[in-house]
Amino acid sequence: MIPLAATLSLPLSTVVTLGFYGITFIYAIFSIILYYHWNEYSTDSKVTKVTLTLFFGSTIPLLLGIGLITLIIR
Amino acid sequence: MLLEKIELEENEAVLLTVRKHWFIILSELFGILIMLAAPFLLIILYVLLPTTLPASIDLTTYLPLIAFFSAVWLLFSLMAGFSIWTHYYLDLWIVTDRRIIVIDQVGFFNRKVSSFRLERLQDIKVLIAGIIPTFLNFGTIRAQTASAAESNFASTGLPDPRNIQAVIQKATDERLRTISGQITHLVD
Repeated sequence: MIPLAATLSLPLSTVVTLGFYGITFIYAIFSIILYYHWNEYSTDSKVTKVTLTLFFGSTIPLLLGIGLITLIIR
Repeated sequence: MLLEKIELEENEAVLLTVRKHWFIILSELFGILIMLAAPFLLIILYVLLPTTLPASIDLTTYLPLIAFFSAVWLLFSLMAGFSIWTHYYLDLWIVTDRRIIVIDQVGFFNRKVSSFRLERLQDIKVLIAGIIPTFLNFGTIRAQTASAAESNFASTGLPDPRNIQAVIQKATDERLRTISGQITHLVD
């Protein structure tokens, strides 16, 4: 018999860890793009400061939380 | 910063800087707010309606996994929200006493910057269509220039479009008066 499809089984902890690395990578790229746009094209330095503070202030704790949950799952 | 990069001519004054109406950003961010609330709403639904779930599912077993996916969902929702805010804030009309600069931030990697000299402006139209735009006073501005048809420009969701039209019209008239004065002076 010829197998129709190959299956790949990975433990959940590995999937979650890989997911965390992927999310961190996407977040880093997005942050660089966002930071660049605000520094390059904004018309008001105060708005830039507030926006970037709010962005990093809300997302970095969330990312740390995701990292912590990843460690718990592992 | 942007205004340092837009090199204004000597004695050129910025008359107006316009961003889209607050209703536009609010309606876009409302979707993000629902996205942010979704995991919490699902948890509340689970707490309120436990009998609808099969008895074999014990969510406490999956708690770290639920927390992981909820946090990822929140992170991506926040990123989407900041992306919307960035596009809103960087989308801009700058009206000076000599030209109109239209900055259209379509996406992070799609940014159009057009500059039109007021003396080349032929027609400027305002369109306010719909109940909400009428009550909140926002609409579309279309401007036609003397150059090729592709260089005509339009922007939707601009606040108080009649005022913007009036400012542009007045600035155009003054610009034409200045230019005709300069020509007369040269001929004399």
